[in-house]
Amino acid sequence: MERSCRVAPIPGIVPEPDMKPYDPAAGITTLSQDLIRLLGEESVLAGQSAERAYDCDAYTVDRSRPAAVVLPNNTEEVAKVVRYCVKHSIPFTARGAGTGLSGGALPALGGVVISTKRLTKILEIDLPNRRMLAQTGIANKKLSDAVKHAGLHFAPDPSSQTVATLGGNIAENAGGPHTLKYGVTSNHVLGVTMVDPLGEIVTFGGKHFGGPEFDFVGLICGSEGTLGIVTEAWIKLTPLPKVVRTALASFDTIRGATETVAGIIAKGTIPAALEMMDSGILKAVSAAFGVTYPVGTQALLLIECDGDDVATVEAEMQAVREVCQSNNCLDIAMAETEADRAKLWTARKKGVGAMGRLAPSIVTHDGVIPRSKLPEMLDFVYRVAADAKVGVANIFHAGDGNLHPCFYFDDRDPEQVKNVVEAGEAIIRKCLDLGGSVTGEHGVGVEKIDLMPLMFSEADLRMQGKAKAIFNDGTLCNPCKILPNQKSCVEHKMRWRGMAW
Amino acid sequence: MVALPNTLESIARWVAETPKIAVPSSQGWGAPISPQAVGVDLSTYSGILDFPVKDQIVKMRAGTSPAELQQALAAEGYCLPTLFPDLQPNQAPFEPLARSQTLAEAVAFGLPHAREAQTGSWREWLIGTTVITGDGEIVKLGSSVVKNVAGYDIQRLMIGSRMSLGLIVEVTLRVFPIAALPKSSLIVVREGEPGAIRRVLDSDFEAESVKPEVLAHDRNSGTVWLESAADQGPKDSWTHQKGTGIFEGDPVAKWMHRAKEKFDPHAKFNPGVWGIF
Ligand SMILES: Cc1cc2nc3c(=O)[nH]c(=O)nc-3n(C[C@H](O)[C@H](O)[C@H](O)COP(=O)(O)OP(=O)(O)OC[C@H]3O[C@@H](n4cnc5c(N)ncnc54)[C@H](O)[C@@H]3O)c2cc1C
Repeated sequence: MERSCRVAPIPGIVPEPDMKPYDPAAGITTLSQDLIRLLGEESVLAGQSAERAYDCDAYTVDRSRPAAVVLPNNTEEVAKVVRYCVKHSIPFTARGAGTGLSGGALPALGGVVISTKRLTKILEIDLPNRRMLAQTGIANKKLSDAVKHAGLHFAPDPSSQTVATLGGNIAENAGGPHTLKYGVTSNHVLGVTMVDPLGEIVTFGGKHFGGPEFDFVGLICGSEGTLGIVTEAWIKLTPLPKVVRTALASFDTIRGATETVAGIIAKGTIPAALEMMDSGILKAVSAAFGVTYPVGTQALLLIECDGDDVATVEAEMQAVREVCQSNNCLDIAMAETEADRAKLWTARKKGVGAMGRLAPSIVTHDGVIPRSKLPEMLDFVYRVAADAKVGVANIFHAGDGNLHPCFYFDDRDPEQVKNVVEAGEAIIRKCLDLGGSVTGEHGVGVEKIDLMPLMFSEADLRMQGKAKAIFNDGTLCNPCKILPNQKSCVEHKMRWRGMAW
Repeated sequence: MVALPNTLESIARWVAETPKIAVPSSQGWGAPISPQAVGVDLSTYSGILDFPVKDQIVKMRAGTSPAELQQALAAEGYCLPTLFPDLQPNQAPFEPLARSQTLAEAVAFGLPHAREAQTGSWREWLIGTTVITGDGEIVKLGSSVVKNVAGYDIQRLMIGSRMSLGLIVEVTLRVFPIAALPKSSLIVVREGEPGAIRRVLDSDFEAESVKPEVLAHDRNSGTVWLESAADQGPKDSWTHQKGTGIFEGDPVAKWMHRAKEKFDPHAKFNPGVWGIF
C-alpha cells in the first residue's frame, strides 16, 4: 500500500518524527520467537494467514499487515508485550473483535497487533452496587446476559453487540439505538485498568462515578486505542425497564417523519429509542422478508418508550402519538406482545442487511446534525444522491441526529464510484455547516483523519494533540489515528467507505 | 477580584497578558490559591447564548448562574436534572448546584448531586466547552450535538479540573425534560454546614448514612454529607472536602501533573488549587 500522507500535517500539533512503517525484514529478526518466549507459543500468531486476517477491520478500504499478532491472557501479558515493543521501537495496535468502521484496529505502520480475544472473563459481579468488573475482550452482549437474571443490563447496545468487545466499545465510545435515553458507552464506565503506551499498568476512576480529580476515564473513552490498551473495566449496570412500549409510525412524506422527531423532543419527551427508516430501506426489507407497510409509506419511525411505571410510559407514548398525528402520520402500529415488538423492529434491525441484496456495493456514511435540522438535511441527502445519479436509503438514529445515508451503486463503474465519493463528502460538509459532527459513532480512525480540520481549528487540534500527549508522547501506540499530524501514514486508496451501519 | 472583558477575543488577550489567574470556588472548596494570582469574578461573564429546545442542548457563557439557567430551561419544560431548583428550604446546603455561583464552577468541581443514579452527571451532560489557554488561544472542545465521537473528549477532562487546565468560558450542556424527573431521596438528618461530601457504594450506604457526623444522605446517588471529614470512611469511597482531595503520591497525581504540564505549562491557572500544583 502507498505510504505517503495526503493529509497536510497541522503545524505545531505534537510534532511527530517521520514515522516509517515497521519493516519486519529490516527489523528484529527474532520477533516471533521473542514474543513466543514472552507469552508462549499458543499466544502468538505469525505468517501469511495471520497477516491477512488482521490487516483491516470492518472498514476494508485501507489495509496494512501486522508483523505478528499476540493473544495475551491477562493485563500482565499485555504489559510485557508493550514493553517489548517499546524497547525495540515496534508499533503496536490493540484489537477487539475488529468490527470497527473507521480503521481503528488497522496496524497502520505494521508491527504487533495485540488482540483481546482471550481477555473474556467477568472478574466480579456486584449486584447490590450494580456494577461489574470485566476483561475488555468480552463481547458486549455477554455482559448483559450475565446479569439478566437480576433485572440488570449493560446499557450501550451497538448493533454489533453480539461480537463487538467491551474494549472496542470503550475505545470508540460506542452508541446504539437506546443511546438517546441511556447515553453512550462513556456514561457507563466507572473505572479502567490500562497498559499505558510505555507498558506501565495504570488505573483510572474507580468503582463509582466521580472523584476529586480530572475525569481521565472520560478522556480515555473514545480515544480509539491511542492512549493505551484497556484490559479491565468496572462498568455500571442499569436496571432493565419494567415497562416497554414500542410503536411503528408510518408517514407518507419524509418531512412528516423528520418534523415528528424534533417535535417529540420539543414536547419534553425523550423516548428510549427513536429510529428512522425511509422507503429505500422498506423496499429492501419487503423484498427480503415479505414484511408489508401501509400503502404510500415514505418513512417509518420506530419509537420506544420505557420506564418503571405504566402511567408514566403511557403518558410518554400518548405525547408521542399526538406529535405523530399532528404531522399527519398514516398509521401507528403498537406492539402488544414481545413477538409484535420484534416484528416492529424488523426494518431497523435487518434493513442494512436487506440493502446488501439490492446492489453490488453499499456504502454508509456516519455524520451528526442537530436534530432540528433533520428535515433540511434529508432534503439535501436526496438532492445530492439524485445529482450524483446513485441510489440512497436512510436508516438511522434520528433521535440523536445521527445520520447513516446508505448509497447503493455498482463499484465496477468508476464514474459511479467517483460520484459516490463526492456525494459522501458533500454530506459530511453539510453536517458541519449545520453545526454537527463528522462522526457520531464510527470514530475517526484513519478514515476521517482528513476531515478533522473541517470540524476543528488548528488551535483545537493542537489542544487535542496535547491531550493525547498526556498519555502518549510517542509514535508506537496505535499510530496514524485520529489526528492529522502524523507523516508517512495511510494513503486512503479510495475515498469511499467500505461498509457501515 | 476583576470582571472579565465581554468578548472572547478580549478575554483571550487579557489571559495572555496576565501572569497568574485565580478563579476561586464560591463555596470555598479546594486548597487555597496563591494570593499573587489575579482573582477573576467569572459571574461577570454570563448569559445564555443559545437554547434550541428541539436539539435538547443549551449553550451559555460560563459565568451564568445555575438559577438563571434553570429558569430559562424550565420555561420550555427542561432542566438540569439535579434537585435544584425544586429544593425544600432545608435541602439547599446539600445541593452543590444551588451553592455554585456559576455553571463553570459546578463543572470544574464535578460535584455529585442527588439524582445522579437515574439522571447521570457532568460526563453525560457536558458536550462541549470553550476554553482559553494560558497563551490566550480560544479553543473549542467537544461539539454542540448530543452525539459526537470526533477526536478526543477533552471537554470531559475539564470536569473536576478546578479551572487548573484552562479558563472555561463557554459551556454547552445536554438538558433533560422536567416531565421525566425521577423522585429524589435526599434526606436531611440535621441542619448544618457540610464540611465534606462523600460518595459511598450502595453496600456501604446503610452503615455510612447513620454515622453521627452525617448531616444528610441520598440513597439514589450514594452520597452522604458530613459535618467534617474527620474520619477516613470506607475503602472505595471518595471524600470531597474543604481542602484538596488529591495528594502527592496518589497514583493519579502523576497523570494530573502530566495534564497540567501539557495544558498549562506556565502554571498560570489557579496556582495552588490542588495543593499539588
Ligand atoms: C454490523 C456492525 C454494526 C455496528 N453497529 C454499531 C452501532 O450500532 N453503534 C456503534 O457505535 N458502532 C457500531 N459498529 C462499529 C463497531 O462495532 C464499534 O465501534 C465497536 O465498539 C468496535 O468494537 P470491536 O471490539 O470490534 O473493536 P475493534 O474494531 O477491534 O477496535 C476498534 C478500536 O478500538 C481499539 N481497541 C479495541 N480494544 C481495545 C482495548 N482493549 N483497549 C484500547 N483500545 C482498544 C482499537 O485499537 C481500535 O482503534 C458496528 C459495526 C458493524 C460491523
